[in-house]
Amino acid sequence: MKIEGVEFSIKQQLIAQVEDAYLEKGKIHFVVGKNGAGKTSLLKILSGLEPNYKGEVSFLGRGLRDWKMEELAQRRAVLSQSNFNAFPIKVEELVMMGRYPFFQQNATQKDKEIVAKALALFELQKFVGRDFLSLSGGERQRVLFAKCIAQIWGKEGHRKYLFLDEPLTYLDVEYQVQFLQLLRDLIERFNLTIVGVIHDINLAINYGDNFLLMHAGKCVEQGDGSRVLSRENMQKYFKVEPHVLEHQGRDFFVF
Amino acid sequence: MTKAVWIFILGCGVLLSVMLAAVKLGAVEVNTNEILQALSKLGTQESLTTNEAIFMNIRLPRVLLTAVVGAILALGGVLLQALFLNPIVEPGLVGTSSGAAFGAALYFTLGVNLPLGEFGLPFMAFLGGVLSTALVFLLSQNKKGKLAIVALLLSGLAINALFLSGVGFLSYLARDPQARSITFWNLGTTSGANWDNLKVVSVAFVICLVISLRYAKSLNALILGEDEAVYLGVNVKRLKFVILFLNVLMIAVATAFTGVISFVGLVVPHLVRMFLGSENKRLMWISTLVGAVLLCLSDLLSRTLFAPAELPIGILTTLIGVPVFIYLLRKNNYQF
Repeated sequence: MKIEGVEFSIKQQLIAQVEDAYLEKGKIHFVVGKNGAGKTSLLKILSGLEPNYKGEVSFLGRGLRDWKMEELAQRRAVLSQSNFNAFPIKVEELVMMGRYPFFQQNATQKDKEIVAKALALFELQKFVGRDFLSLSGGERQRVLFAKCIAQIWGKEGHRKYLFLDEPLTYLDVEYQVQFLQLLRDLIERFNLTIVGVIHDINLAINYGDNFLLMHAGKCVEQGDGSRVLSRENMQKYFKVEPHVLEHQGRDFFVF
Repeated sequence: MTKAVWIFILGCGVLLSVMLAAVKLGAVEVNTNEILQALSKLGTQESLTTNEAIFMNIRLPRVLLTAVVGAILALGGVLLQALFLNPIVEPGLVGTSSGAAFGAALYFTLGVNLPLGEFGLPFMAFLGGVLSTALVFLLSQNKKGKLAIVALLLSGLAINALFLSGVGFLSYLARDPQARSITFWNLGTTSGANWDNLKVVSVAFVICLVISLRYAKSLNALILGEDEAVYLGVNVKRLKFVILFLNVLMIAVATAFTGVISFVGLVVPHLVRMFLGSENKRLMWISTLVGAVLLCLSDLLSRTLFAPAELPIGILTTLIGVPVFIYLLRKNNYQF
């Protein structure tokens, strides 16, 4: 995925700008920055939701705007910060939605199997038949995650993308770590590339390969963890004075 | 087989029983023997006895039309509720029905001279339905282009009042006795049923049901929100247009022949959703069935309660619907 001179503004107000970036396949890319720095907007652009930007994004060798929504849905999944509560919906029905881009009228046996595997992956079997709205925040997040995994499941050799907007929200530490570990495992299994917005700096350092640091709508730094998430950048862009602890050759922060 | 399939089969049984009762009972009772006799004379030149003729030319088309209209109203409710993610919208509340009634009334007063043939009436009703629905949606959009549910209900109220008073005015000008009846337009009746209008309504229903089922998946995805639906490959703009179009088409055609029948589209999908969840394909199948049963029962009651006098069917559906509507309003705690 290549980003060239992308600029997105609303009423002359710059929301998200990335001069030039290359998101290498098979890696975990994290977008970091303060609240309101343009992280979620950038994710919306890259996932194809927001087409009204200047510049070019090339996705799997083709301009992102040239992709049809139906095609795009077969190649990438998005875990967004959605908040819905209009109608009750069963857990397994929600996860099945991840397979919608792949069948016309009725789910095939294969789709049902994938849903069952995705549910198992997040230890959600015991919630089958339950109303999604009756679950806790963390349980809901796991269900939504399972839906995304069902969407990018399968077809070896096809490259897939997973976009995550604050995936760790509502999760306790056990599941946070489990999730990030799972992402690592899935990269090879599904030929995956991951682009995520994340708030926990230390988890980001531990699991990310590449970082984009957003500040006031602009991408001000990019590269690996030691370069982007340095003590100086912490002070400059996050306005905090962290203590640095070294562990396995990498710097972590105590705030 | 799943629970929903069993419920559907059971529902078909119930619908058939209700329809059988409905063709038999009324101001004149028709017995099973007469029904079989009348059916056996189909396609032959033999003349029908009075009771056989009542069955063949009055009861049967009426019961069938009632069932189809009930199914249409319920399906319209499913579509609108799924589109607006809100259980308190239905075709009657967003102005479609009153606009369609106005279009139909206009046809009776002026349009009979239009060169449209037998499709003149449904066509005019459709135009009226499009006009009123479009007005309601234009009025209820805020500056950001989002719909506020309270604004939607209030605009619906205003547009309904406007178009129904238009119907009132036209009914003074009309010469056709049915079109002259304000009660007919406001409260609805299926007493005007015949084989010709049954044909038109059925065709509209089947077309709309088939297309709706194709969009059930997209409507499911919409439950998660518009952005999520886009991520799952749904063309949300097209979805909204198609669903509104189908809704206006069905409701207009039904309203042209039966007047405004309220609350079926509100109550039925809500009840079904309570028991079977929000999956829209299931909701469409079961709701159309329940809508047909409910309207057939209402029609049977409206014909028999004070027989030989006949109540407008809308009185019964409103009696059932208003408590449910108030319950929903209070439960959802809408802020005014």
